[in-house]
Amino acid sequence: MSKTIALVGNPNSGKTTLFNALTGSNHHVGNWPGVTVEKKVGYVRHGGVDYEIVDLPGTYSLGAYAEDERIAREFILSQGADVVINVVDATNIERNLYLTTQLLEMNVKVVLALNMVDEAEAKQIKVDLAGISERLGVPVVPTVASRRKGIDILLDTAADLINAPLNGRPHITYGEDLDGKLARLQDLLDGLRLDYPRQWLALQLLEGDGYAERLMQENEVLKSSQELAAFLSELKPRAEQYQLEIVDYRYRFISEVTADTVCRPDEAVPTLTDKIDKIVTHKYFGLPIFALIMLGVFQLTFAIGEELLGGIVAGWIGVLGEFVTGGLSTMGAPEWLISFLSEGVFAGLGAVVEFVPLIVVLYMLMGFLEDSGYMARAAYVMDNIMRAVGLQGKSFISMLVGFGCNVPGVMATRTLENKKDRMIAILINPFMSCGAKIPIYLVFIGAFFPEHGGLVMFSVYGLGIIVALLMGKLFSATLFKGEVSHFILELPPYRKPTLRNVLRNMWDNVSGFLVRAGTVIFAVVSLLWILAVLPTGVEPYGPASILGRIGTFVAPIFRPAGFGTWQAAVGLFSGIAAKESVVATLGMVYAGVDSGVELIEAIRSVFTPLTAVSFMVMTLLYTPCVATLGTIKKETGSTKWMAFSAVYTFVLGWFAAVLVYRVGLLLGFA
Amino acid sequence: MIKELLLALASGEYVSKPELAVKLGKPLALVDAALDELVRLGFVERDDGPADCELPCGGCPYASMCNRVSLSTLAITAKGWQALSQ
Ligand SMILES: Nc1nc2c(ncn2[C@@H]2O[C@H](COP(=O)(O)OP(=O)(O)OP(=O)(O)O)[C@@H](O)[C@H]2O)c(=O)[nH]1
Ligand SMILES: [Mg+2]
Repeated sequence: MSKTIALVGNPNSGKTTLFNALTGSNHHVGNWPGVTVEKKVGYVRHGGVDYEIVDLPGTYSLGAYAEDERIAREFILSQGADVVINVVDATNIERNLYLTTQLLEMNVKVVLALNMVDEAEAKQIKVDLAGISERLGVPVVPTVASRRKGIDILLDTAADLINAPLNGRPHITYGEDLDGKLARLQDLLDGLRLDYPRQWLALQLLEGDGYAERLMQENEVLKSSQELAAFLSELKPRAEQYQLEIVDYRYRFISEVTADTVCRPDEAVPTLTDKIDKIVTHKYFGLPIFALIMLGVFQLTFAIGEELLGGIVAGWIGVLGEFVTGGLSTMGAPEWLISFLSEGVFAGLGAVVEFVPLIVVLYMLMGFLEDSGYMARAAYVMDNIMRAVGLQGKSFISMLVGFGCNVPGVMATRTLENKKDRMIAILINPFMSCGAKIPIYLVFIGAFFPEHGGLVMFSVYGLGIIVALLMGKLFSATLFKGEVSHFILELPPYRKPTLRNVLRNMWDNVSGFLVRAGTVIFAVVSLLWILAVLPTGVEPYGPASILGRIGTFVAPIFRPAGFGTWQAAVGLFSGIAAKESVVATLGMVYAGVDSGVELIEAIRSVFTPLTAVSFMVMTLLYTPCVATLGTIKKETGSTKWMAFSAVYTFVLGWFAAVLVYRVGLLLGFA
Repeated sequence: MIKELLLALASGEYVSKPELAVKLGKPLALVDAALDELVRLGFVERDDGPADCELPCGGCPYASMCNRVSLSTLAITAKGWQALSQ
């Protein structure tokens, strides 16, 4: 008669490797009945006895939740094995012992194969084998399955155990209350003829385990006991609490077993990541540090992007523009084509594209922060603040995404299950200043605040966050009341940023920026150009053109904010198509081939520093672009909310711009 | 310690699992394993954020900005709250 040994263990603990080491090529592979999970059976002769070895699917526990778990557990319970070899990954003992604890609860014969001791040694994890063996009440054999170490001793130990009585097991307690209930359940089960260990079945019934419950319904013996059924229905309402307590006591047991028998080198010393995190995620310092870092990023962007590289691309665009339009006019090309190219393409589109150097530097620095792992901390810091104002903390993820583009930002709110949290997150997302708005700020900074570019950018972004938080607070207090849920964040360890990642990130962003300029913005500019030169006979780009008339009609709205020119008005409206168009439109209507310098000079003559600020505040806050509005409609499934979003942001932006302008005037700014 | 973990999640004060481990006075490996078991049992849920492919960023020029920040969060489920309140 051959004996059966089952290999049980967590995924990746080395079961199959051990199986192969035990059986050599003497095995066959099939499926477990009814399922596609692989069943491996092998044979080995040891000490004159034949053993059948079964490689069970890897599982973390022996509940009834997953197919793999059920297969492993049923095989063990159906007395299919004379002894179980529990393969435990020595580098991960605490996790692996959960399964071991459940095996002890099943009251089966267990040998613990402490596998991968070579890796544990390399990781300087020290394990007191005798101590663990004593506390678990099972023999422990160290193995290195991949190098066939410890295999013979393991087989010897298993063979001995098969012939020995089961004793010396520790008593696992589940607390006074549950121990009492378990004893009562075992009493009730005692008189019944069952194929399962009573102690185990009692525990499963207490936990409300689905499999045990099915047994209760299907098993004639169990069904017949009225008293048992009554007691179970008494327990049922608190099954979740009992389950939690049982898991709790299992971990207490594991904690007792591993206390001072498993010793890890890094436990005592906090890692560098922990030390840095202590500071950058600090309750009070975290936010100022984040703010300082961002200010530094913007300052550096201007220092490198503007002072070192600024003007280069603008210069190229100027030269190229003059060359193309000059060439065309000597070739006798039609006037309209030359006009389209010089004012529409080179002045309009060029005004957007000339900021590429700054954008390159900005995204490189951001990529550096992201790649290092710091941005995850920033998210954590933001999360704390969000919660402080009563917002669902998780929405910061969508907000971070919104800094790139509000379209995916709005979509990222899908992770919020609570509809109310989600609505708020969607409605405040557009205040996260997206990448497309950068050229707008850069033009105005270039015109009025070239010395303080970093500070101005930082303030604009900061204002966006503050408005988002305030509006979030307002919405959660009025429109959508709801509770805040809680969670732990897992922060990835810091890494040394790689040049490759940083460059690729930068390139992704810049190429995207250029592609957009060549497609969406080009289309918008072309359309606006047509409106700017029609009807024929009037001065192109003048107030009498269609564009000029539209602008003149709406401009009065913006007079209280200080920028009531028709050019600014059409600029803002074209921005609803795509935010970059604001700059493209201004570039076109204040035309000129070497647009960069000219646009900035034109703006200097039309705006003042104060109206420039109020204009920037308006562009930061007002109606999101159509792509974002479309996404809001899709995600909320409601045209009403889309319209609300379009209108309330406009109103808010308008009030903020007027406030800035009026207060500025009062303070004596011009 | 399981209840303490759930309570810690409920208070929402902790930054990282290492810190949590220090607070509970348990080895990180044990805390890690216990949290995973809570996830498996449905007391806690893990959210790794939207997968890149879920967001149709394909056509978006700023797509690469998305989900660079890989964050995993653990939150108590309704089942977890219920078990705690009992
Ligand atoms: N260093 C070392 N590596 C091992 C040892 N035993 C197994 N491995 C390696 O660990 C990995 C996983 O081993 P498997 O045998 O596939 O693990 P398993 O338990 O069958 O995994 P599942 O079938 O997924 O549950 C393989 O790459 C093995 O080579 C060991 O003792 N030491
Ligand atoms: Mg395997």
